[in-house]
Parts: sequence; C-alpha cells; structure tokens
Amino acid sequence: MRTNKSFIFALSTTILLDLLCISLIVILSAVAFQSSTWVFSDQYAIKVLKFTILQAFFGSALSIFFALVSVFSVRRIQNTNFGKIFTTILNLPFFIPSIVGCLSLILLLGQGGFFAHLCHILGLPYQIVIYGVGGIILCHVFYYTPFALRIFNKSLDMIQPEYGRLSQQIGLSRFDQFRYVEWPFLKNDLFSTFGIIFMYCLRSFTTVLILGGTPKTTTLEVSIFQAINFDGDLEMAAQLALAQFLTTISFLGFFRIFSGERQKTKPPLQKKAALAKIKFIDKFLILSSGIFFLLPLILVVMDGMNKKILPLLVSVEFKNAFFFSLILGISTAALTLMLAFSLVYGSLFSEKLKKFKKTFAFFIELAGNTSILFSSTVLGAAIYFLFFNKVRETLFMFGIIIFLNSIMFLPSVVRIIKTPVQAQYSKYERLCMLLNIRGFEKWRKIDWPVLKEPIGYSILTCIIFSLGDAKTILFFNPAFENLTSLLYRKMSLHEFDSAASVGTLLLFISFLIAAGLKKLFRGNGIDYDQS
Amino acid sequence: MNILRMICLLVLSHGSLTAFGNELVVYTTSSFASGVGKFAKDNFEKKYNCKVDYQSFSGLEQMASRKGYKPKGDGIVGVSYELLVKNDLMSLFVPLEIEKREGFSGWEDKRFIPIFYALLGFVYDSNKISKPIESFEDLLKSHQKIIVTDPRTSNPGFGLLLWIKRIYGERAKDYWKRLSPQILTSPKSWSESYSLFMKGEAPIVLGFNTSPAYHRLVDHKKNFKAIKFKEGNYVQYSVAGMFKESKHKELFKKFVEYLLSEEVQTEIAFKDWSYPIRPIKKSLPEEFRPITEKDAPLPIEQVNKNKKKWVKEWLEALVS
Repeated sequence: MRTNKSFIFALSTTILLDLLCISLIVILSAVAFQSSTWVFSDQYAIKVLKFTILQAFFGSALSIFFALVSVFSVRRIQNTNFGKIFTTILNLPFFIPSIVGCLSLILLLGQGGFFAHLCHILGLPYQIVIYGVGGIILCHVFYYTPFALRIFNKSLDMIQPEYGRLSQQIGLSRFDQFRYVEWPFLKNDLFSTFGIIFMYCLRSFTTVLILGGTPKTTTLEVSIFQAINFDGDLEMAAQLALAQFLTTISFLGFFRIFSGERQKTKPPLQKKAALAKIKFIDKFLILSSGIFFLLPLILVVMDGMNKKILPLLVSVEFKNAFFFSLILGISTAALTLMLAFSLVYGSLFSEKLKKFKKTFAFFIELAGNTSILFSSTVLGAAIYFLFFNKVRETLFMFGIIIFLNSIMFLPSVVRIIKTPVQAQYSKYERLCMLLNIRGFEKWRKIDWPVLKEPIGYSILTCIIFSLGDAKTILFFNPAFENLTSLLYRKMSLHEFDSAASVGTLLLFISFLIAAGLKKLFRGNGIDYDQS
Repeated sequence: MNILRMICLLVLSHGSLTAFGNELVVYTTSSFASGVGKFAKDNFEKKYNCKVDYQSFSGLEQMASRKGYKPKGDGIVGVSYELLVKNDLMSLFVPLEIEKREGFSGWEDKRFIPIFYALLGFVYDSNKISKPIESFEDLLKSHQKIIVTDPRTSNPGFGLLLWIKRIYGERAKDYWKRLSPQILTSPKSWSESYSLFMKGEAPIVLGFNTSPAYHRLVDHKKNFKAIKFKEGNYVQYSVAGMFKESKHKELFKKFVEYLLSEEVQTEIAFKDWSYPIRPIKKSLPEEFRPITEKDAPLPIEQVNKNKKKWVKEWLEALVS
C-alpha cells in the first residue's frame, strides 16, 4: 500500500459509513418492533409488497431485454458522428427528474400527446392508455434501458479484438459467436445490472403516482412516505422500511449467486474504431429506439420552447437555481470521489491482508452500498431527524445535503473508478516503487492520464443528478432551490409554460455538461468503466 | 462570478443567522414563500427592522411525529389547516390572540388564525365538456375521465376525501367505488395533476375554483371553467400558528397581524390565486367572484379522529 495515511483514511471512511448503515438497521428494527401491530397483517400491505416486487421485476427484465437486443446495433454506429450524439442523448433519461421523464412519455403517448394527435389527423381512434401498470413499466424501460445499454457496451469493449478475428477465421456463425465469445462477457454484468435496475424500480415514487392510475399500484416507497408524512406513524414507517431493506438484500443475494465471479480479463489497449457495416436491422433498431427514447425528449424540448423561455433564461431565479445546483453538484462530486477513492484503495489494501481478508472486504462493500440498501426517503428522514435542530444553520445543512447526496451516488462512482484504479495499481505500483515515483508526481504522470476519464464521468453523474434531484433539497431553506425545485415552484404558481421551459433548459444543460465533460476529460482511449 | 456570489451568500447567511437576534423563524411552503410571503417578508423586515427566515414546512411535518419534539423557531404561516390535523403537530402550538378578527367570525379554533382561503373544486375544459355538471351525481353521469391527487400525499386530494365525506357521510365509500372507473390517475401533488390536465390528458381535474381566473386574466384563455356544485365548494383555509416555544412571541404576533393587513390581503388574490380572509377596499376582478357558496369544512376534531379510517375506506373502495 502507498502510505499509512491513505490506509487510515480508507479505514475511517469505512467505519463511518458502516456505522451509519448498521445504526440505521438497528434503529429501524428497534422502532419497528416497538409497535404491537404488524403492518403486514393487513392484506393491502401485502398487495403493495407484491406489486412493488412485480413491477420492479418486469421493469428491469424488459430494460435488460431491450438493451441486449439493441447493444450490437449501437456498437456498430457509435463511432459515426450521428452515433456519438445519439449515445450522449440516450444517456439523458436516466438523469432527468422523474416528473420531466413522466411528462415526456405523456407528451408522446398520452391522450393529448403526439400519437393521439397523429391518429386524430389520420382519422383513427386512439386506444393507448398509459396509466396503470403498463405505464409504470414503460417509464422504467424508458429510464433504464439506456443505462443497461451503456453497461453492456462497456462489457463488450473488454473483448480482445483477436477474439472477433479468430471466430471469423474458424467460421463461427453469428449466434455461436454470441454464445461463445460475447455471452461470457455479458453474463456477469447482466445479473448485476439487473440487480441495480431492480433496486431503482423498487423505489419508484413519483413515476408510480403519476402514471399508476388508481392506488392499486402503490409501491412500498409511497407507503413509507405516507406513514411518515401523512399518518405520522414512525413504527409503521420503520416496519415498511425494514421490509424494503429485506427485499433488497435478499434479491441482491440472489443476483450475486447468479452472477458469480467477474471474468478477469485484461482490457484491450486500443479501442478499435468500428469498421463493421451498418446493416438494415441496425437502422430499424436505431429508428425504433429513436422514436421511443429520443422523441419524448424532443417533445419536451418543443414543449418548453415557448415565449417564456427567454425571460426565464435571463431571470435571477433561474441563474440562482442553476448556480446553486452547480455548486451542489461540484461539492457532491468532490466528496463522493474522495469517499470512493478511499474505499477503492481500502479494498486494494484488504487483498494484502493475511487474516480477516473477507471480513474487511465485506465491510468495505457494505460501506459503499448504504444507499442501495436504504431508499432516499428513509436515509433523508433519518438524517433529517438527527440534525433537525441544526436545520437553520445553512452551511451545516448544506454539508448534510452534500453528504446525503454523496452516499446516494457512491455505489455508482465506486463502480466507475474501481476497475481502472485496480488495473493501474497492479500494473505500475511495483515499477513506481522501484523508480521512486510517488506522491503528486505519480498521480500526475501515471494515474491522471488513465483515471481522468472515469473521474470525469463521476463528476458528470453527480452534477446532472444534482440538477434533477427533488428529494434531499426538499428539507432545505425554501430560498435555496435547484432547477427541479424551481420547476415545481413554477407549476405551483400556475406557470406551466415556464415550468416546461425549465424542463427544456434542464435537458439542454445536462446535454451540454455531458458533452463538455466528455471532451474535457477525454482519456487515452482506454475506458475501463464497468459501471 | 455568480458561483462566487452564491458561495458568499451561503457563508454570509450562515453568519447572519447565528448573529441576528431580532429574527423570526417561520415554517411555510415554498409556494407561499415565493408568492405573497415574499412580499410580506420584504415589507415587514423594513417596517420592523428585523429579519424573517422562512424554513421548509415538510421537514417540520416529519419531525412532529417524533415524541417530545420541540421546534426551534416561532411558528408557521400559509400552511393548509388540513395538514395540521395531527395530534403531535397540533400540540406544538399556543393560542394566538389577534384583536382584529373581522371577516372570519365563524372560525373557532383558537390555536390558528386563517390568513387566506381557497375553494376546492373541479376545473374543466369547456371545449371538451358541453353538458353542464352541477353536482357530484352529475359528475358520475358524465362518464368523463378525471384526475384527482392522492389524499395521502396531497392537500387538495385529502380535501376531496373530506368533501365527499361531508356530502355522503356513511355512503362516501360507495361514491368512491362508483367514481373509481372515471379516475384516470392520482398524482402526488396538485402541480403534477394540473400539469397533466393542461397537457390534455383528461377534461376534468381536481383543483381550485380560482384557477379559471388565472387562465382568463394571465393566459387569456376562456375555455377553463370551474364546476358550479349545488352542494357548495369545500373551503380550505391556510393558517398561521405560533409555537409554544417561540422566543419572539410579540414579533410573531405582529407578523401575523401584518399578514392580515389591507396591504398584504390585497396582494393575496394575484400572488397566490386565493381569496383574502377579510374584506378589502380594492374590489377584485369579476373572475374572482366565487361561483358557489362556501361549504364549511368538517370539524377538525372529527377529521383528526377519523382520518386514518377514512383513508383506509378510500383505499378499499378504489382497490377492490
């Protein structure tokens, strides 16, 4: 390991986050068992639990299916100019606030939407009703297919180009090539990605309420919110949160068994420019995914391009909301990266241990995954309860919100940086020790050129999420608002046109930040991201 | 530069909050804080040489469920009365004695003072609905799709639950059952459901009777109208209340009195699209004239006692 300092840092981060996680479990159990009634003695609660799991299962299964179907086509076009823009935009649904996401689908498929108008012009009856289970699942597919697609694309990047040539030489059919060459690479990420998307779907809140139709389609997250905010029944909230935690952890265990050990492969040194010919099927898939994924975003942009957009753009409230989101995002990114690096270095250290190797590795993993185990409603409420009397100390609360957001993004950021850091370490650590390159010089010469791309992507994730975060900001002084709270406030004042414009600008800004950071942090072509 | 300014603001507001002695801490909603609340805050601060700091009410709501909780700060303003229907929350307040009580003589709860009110109602698009709807039974007969917010997460949604309870009493569950096929969806908040309505998803939406006034006066659209219910429209009061623990009771009282002054009450119609609680000199435009009588809300004790039961009833009606 490099120095004792980094070890102490890794250890304290692990202890801090583990303490948070374990005390949450203890507090939740203590509160939950205080009550004499058990929430799941009620039929409705069981229905809610079943529905939560079912919608999450179908939402994630379909997202994975569509991502698998289209990943090969996306790979064939990704090096064209159109492909680059297409893939950047494709990432956006994952980041935008749920309200904008839902509205964009409604603009496409709703009763007053694009297709309804089209049918009206053609004189056809419009029969699609997106409200109900179908709508919720569709919306999840809209959010998470691009996310899965991105991960699968990266997994396929790990295949050595020789494999492709070899399989052509021995005359493998396309299906066999998929079965023997690509599938082993995809398989590991398939289950872990399924797991992540499943977790996200399990917590859906706004989407479920907007597109759900009647309360038949309530999720655990809505019930937790109801128990805390409406009934003021903390015992029930704790029981529900515990149920959510147990569901999460059992499914995670289940996926872990399936995914097995990650294939240890050396990443290719040079990403090959795609030489493959673009086929008819690619055009068809790109067109249909364009209709489903890009058209809603285009409709949101068109909806917001009204006469309110220019006054909004120059208004003080917009600027304040934008810069506040930006400060929040950058600070969150800094803290998240710090925590993520210390955890990753900690896990490198744990591999060298002779005793307690597995225990230490488990605690590091637990520390990185607190937010996967608890939803933001639970985490937010818990942290808010702890620090409520400090709520007026703006700077302190700002720190708390950054900490909360960091915990939220930590699992993704750890995933992004883990593989490249590990690769760098195994490749150069000995050499650097021999040549006595260390400290800042080592960072600048050896690590930065390779790590800057994953770091850039981590910063991007944090900033764009901070623009669209609607939950943690809720507890803050109303004078401070990010773009999403501005959007909600505009709606609450009847200014729906301005709200639509905020949505449009949010998309534009996210796109510009994504494109800008991609350029700024462009690495040497090696992309280790394994999400 | 803007970023620097924002950082300075954060640091300064941190310093000023801890240094300022003559300061009110008031919990409210973000729409009040940026609407008429902003107007009131700015003028009150100048007039009394003090500071008013608005904090988010959502946080307070969560905290109140914790036993033995004592809030820091002075009180709440502009919060809907129905949101306060929680034993834990109501016990935080001390009666507010205000002398000028004209305009709300019927108000009995001494803990809170109403600041303004809104009439809950259904807004419809007259381009899509030609046959007049005049009662809750007509609403059923129309077979039109409606968007209503979820009573567990939104204030108007909860208001509708009480409204239907008031009209139908024991038969409320049956009415919800009959209405169920017409409910397109139940979003989390008014903002979301009204947004869907504006996008043309359904011809009728649960909202407030004053929304058509906004569409006429600001958007210049005449097709949005409110249903004239012969049962009357349910009133939702937004109130002010003072914490037992407040350290600036006199100043907070002055602030509430200022909210009731002619100056602030005149602004309420256009900044919050609600009705002032007391008569004002300036006459409001024709569009603001209430189209129906006020239907008095259910007694708060009754609501408090039965709230969970009624929500369960609503759930059973819609889920079965």
